[in-house]
Amino acid sequence: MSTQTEPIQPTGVGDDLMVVARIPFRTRARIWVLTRFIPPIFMFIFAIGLLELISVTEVLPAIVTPSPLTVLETMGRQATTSFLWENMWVTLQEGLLGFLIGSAIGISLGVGVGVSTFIARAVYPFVVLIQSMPRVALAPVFVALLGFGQSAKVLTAVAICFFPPLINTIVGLRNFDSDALLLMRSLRASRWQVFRKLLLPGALPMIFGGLKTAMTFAILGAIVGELTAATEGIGSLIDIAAFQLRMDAVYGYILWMSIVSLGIFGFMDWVDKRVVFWRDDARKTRLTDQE
Amino acid sequence: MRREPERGVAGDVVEVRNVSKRFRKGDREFLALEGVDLRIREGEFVSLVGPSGCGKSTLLRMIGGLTPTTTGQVSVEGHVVDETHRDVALMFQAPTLFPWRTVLDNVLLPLEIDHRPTKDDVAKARALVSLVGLDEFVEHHPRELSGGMQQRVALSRVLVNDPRIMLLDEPFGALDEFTREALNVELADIVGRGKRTVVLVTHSVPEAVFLADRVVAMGTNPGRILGEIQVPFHRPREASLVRSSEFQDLTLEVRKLLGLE
Ligand SMILES: Nc1ncnc2c1ncn2[C@@H]1O[C@H](COP(=O)(O)OP(=O)(O)OP(=O)(O)O)[C@@H](O)[C@H]1O
Ligand SMILES: [Mg+2]
Repeated sequence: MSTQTEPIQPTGVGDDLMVVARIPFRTRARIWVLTRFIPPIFMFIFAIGLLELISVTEVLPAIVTPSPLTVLETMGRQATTSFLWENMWVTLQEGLLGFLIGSAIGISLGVGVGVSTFIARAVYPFVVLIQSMPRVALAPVFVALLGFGQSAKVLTAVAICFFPPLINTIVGLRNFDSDALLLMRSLRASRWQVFRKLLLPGALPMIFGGLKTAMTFAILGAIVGELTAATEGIGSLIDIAAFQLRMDAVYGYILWMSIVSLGIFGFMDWVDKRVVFWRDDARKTRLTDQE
Repeated sequence: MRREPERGVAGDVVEVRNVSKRFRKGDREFLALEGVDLRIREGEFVSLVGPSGCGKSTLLRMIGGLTPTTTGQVSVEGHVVDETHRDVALMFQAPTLFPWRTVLDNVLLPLEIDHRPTKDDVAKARALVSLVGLDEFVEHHPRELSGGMQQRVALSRVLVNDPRIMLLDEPFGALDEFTREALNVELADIVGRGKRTVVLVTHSVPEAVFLADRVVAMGTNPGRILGEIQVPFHRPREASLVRSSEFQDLTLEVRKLLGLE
């Protein structure tokens, strides 16, 4: 290379880095904490303020925009009832069971597609079809099929959540290093050994990514199922409360469900970081652990 | 036990006879190698040098049984190669370590594929890891190692099967010059201990001369062998050899063969 040209950079990015480079590490870490937490806190306060304003000025019908403080109060009351937790447990059971079944189906189908051209050819057209299908709309079908009990909700969860693990398993299994495959061949590894020692561990980061999405989808599926027709579960509580125009209760249930789900996703993340410890997270941690 | 150059006594372990290799690129055919003849004696260290794209890697893969020849024949230890061979081990330009395995488990991989590793196997793998100077890192994962350290792990992994023939495809090509020289001296030392046959692919003429008993120069379009030069220096070779005038003369000869001078 004889001529050297300035690397083209999006405006602003380079300047920012130049400024950061002149700041000592300790200060930089402190700035990082500030820039990390100030924006979301600011946003949160802003949103609550806006909601309170809407509720006080009654620009929207007061009945659908309860004040955030009322919602908080309602949430406090809801938390002391066993009613909330029993129904939450129903929804979680459906969601988790749906997640387990859906992931098992997704991963095994994905493995099948990944290792066998025959299965790939057999399954692929349906994969594409199912992908383009509005799968939430299947909930009424499952209710018609299985009745009002929990099984219809589990099935809805399965239908919605099996897809990400399936696709991610297929993509993950194909995402191997070609030299590593040559190495395995030169070591005269069997097909099973290539799968077990190279392809499967190599696919784990993708598979776990799929599982995380599947967990979100499964709980979503369970609630959609309950909204369709149910006598128990968070979805049915929301349905009833909405019917009675108790919007503070609706928001309360939704928020409690979000908080519990957040815990579950946090747990999934925690497991992910331990199982797939080699996942390339260099970029994510670059600013924090330099030196 | 140091290997003495007992030329002519032992037979040819690798025999490449009139080999060509054609690749299909879309609807066009491309002749990657033509009329390649190469015989390698037992215990010999041969360097293949040549410009990018002259078919060095392809030739190595054919010897390793990873790619079929289009015409001609490759034999290893008297048998025509049509599959990978248990006495042949390959090492690539990239370390190709498995990131989910510790250094020790990476080195154990070849044994693990053959059988369930025994205590002796583990001890052997550990010994190899310390042979390349990575004692402290046996239980570490590849991402905690530098590129040079990873390549040393790959070297241990090649050695763990006690291969009689080692095929090294630019093993240190991606490393800086300092690390590379240090590793070359190490490689010469380690290989010199066993009675191993080595074929090394490299872009660097001094590296080829420093390590080999014989340097084979290759050219492109089509990929072919241009000629070869015997390297008479005995082993072990010191790093200072590179500065001697005999060494300089030999590299010059190789460069002439390659059409660089
Ligand atoms: N699988 C393949 N399909 C098509 N063409 C190939 C294939 N492998 C190699 N070639 C072609 O054959 C020629 C020789 O390739 P090879 O990798 O053996 O070169 P090389 O001498 O090892 O080069 P380098 O020094 O850059 O590694 C190149 O032109 C390459 O494009
Ligand atoms: Mg090559």
